[in-house]
Amino acid sequence: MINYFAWDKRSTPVNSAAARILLCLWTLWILVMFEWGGYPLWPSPLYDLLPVFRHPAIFPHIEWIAAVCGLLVLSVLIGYRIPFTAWGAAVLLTYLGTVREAYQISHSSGLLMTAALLFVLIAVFSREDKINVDQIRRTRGRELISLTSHLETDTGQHRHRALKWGLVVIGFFYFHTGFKKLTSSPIEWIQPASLGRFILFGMDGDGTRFLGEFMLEYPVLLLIGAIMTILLEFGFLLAIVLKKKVWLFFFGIIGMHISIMFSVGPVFIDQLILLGIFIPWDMILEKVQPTEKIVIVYDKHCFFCARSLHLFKFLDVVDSVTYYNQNTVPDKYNNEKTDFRNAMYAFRGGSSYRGYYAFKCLFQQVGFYPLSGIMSLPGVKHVGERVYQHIADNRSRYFVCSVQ
Amino acid sequence: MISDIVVQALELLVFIGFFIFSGICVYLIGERNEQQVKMLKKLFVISLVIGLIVSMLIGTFPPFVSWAFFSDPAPESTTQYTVVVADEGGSEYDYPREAAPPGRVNDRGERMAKGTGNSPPNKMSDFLLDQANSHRQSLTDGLSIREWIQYRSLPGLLGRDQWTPSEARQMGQLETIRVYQTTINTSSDGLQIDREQTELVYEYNMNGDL
Repeated sequence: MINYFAWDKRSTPVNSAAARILLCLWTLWILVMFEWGGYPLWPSPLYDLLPVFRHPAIFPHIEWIAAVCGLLVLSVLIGYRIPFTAWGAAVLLTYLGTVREAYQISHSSGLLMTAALLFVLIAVFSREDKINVDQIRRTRGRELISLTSHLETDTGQHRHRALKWGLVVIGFFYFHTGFKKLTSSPIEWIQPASLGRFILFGMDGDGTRFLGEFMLEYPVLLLIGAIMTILLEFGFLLAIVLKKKVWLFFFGIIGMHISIMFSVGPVFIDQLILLGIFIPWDMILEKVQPTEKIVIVYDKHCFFCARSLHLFKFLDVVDSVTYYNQNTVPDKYNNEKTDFRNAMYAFRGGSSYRGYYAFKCLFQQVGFYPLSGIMSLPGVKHVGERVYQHIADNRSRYFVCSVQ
Repeated sequence: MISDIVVQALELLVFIGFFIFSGICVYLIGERNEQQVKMLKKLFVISLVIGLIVSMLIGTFPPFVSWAFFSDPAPESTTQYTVVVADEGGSEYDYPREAAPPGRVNDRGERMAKGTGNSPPNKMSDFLLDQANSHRQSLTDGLSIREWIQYRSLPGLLGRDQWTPSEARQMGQLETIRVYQTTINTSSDGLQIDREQTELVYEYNMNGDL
């Protein structure tokens, strides 16, 4: 886990995109799994709900609100108009979370609102997230020379401030839980008797699970568990803001949630997904991507080609792809079979790949093995080759391709 | 009562205030020069941090919530409520969570027993009985795809108080709802249950036959 508060700059923008995608997938799962249309059926909420949230013009249509929210989240997932879709999703998630809390107070209602805060951060710092549809749209207004220079030079450092402040938010929520214990009766709380009773009472009368039963036999484990809980809850935020490494707290908190799951039941477990947002995805991608160098040669007059390759440059974490145009390509790649003005070429080892297969090679190089595998399937390959050729032949018509 | 109104007004104010402010920031960030954008982002982060601190020191207001559950020491004894339904033959069945709309049925039972719910206990009882009978009917007739997915969802897989179709076919019309209160007393070291006592604290029959 990265302490983005200390180090918010990385050599690739991959982490912001991966975090956005993971958050969106979790939110979509929650939106689909919850039965939103059920709440208006109850004669009344369990807890007080703002009258404006129960207004007859809004509340009976909550299922539609969840559907619209889902569409906005889907849009954030692909990265289309992120500032507005992420902000809109945050507003609706807060509404949905508030309603759910009034009918079914639970941890996951609070998590919806935590997700809303993360969506607002994504909206505010959207410019730093560069692997998305918005980034491709932004290339539309750029000059060809700036696009080609992006491909042929280092992309520099990338900030991840949505993750920086997102980590502070998550750290703060844990700190808040520790603070509540401190302002209640901390000494009593850490006594084995207190944690023992929590385990005995179980969740919703579900009873005790095997780890809980084991801990009840050894009260010292209850004492250690309670002290560790408080230390982790306070220490996580402190480590973040003091710019220390946080991996110890990350694994400690994972251990705490797993222990709770095997002591009283699967509560608080989706918090782990929110923590997963801060995993160093770029380091994982670094391990997955092949280190063997490849060379891509594209037509320097082709605006469409430069735009298509734009995101690949960001995804190439190990910097194993070298881009050339027909003017800069070394002679060894140039022969009578290559025609760089009519198709993109990839060179790997002693082999060359043209057009559709060059793209397939590129997907493989950035670690998208499933996609490259799909591209090898007979039917997909057949259609893909034709689509590529059609676009290549008509790119000047469709995409205002050449500056000449 | 007045404090409830004040809290609700504050809740609305924080909700509207935070999202209008963040919305303005998001809009202006795309429109302004670099210096102003820097300032807007700083202002937004300050508002976010203030929101978090206020939620910790004063109280939670959406979207500034709390993850704090079980923050008070566990008491020596606790009471739990269980809602059950009985058919015309008098057989009792645990109320399955998938029969009612999403929400904690046992928490509703507690409110019904104490008379502290937002709806009168009789109204809530009629509603829960109606839902239970509809669920029984669905199981007897065959579940729709959506119902089947919900029926097979995670809590169900954990084997909690679900009715099976064959069980549903054996049930008569569900007419009575009962709430049992279980008091659990633990030992002074908190490591074992000393005494568990269950008593009927609420009963309602839809035909008034009690």
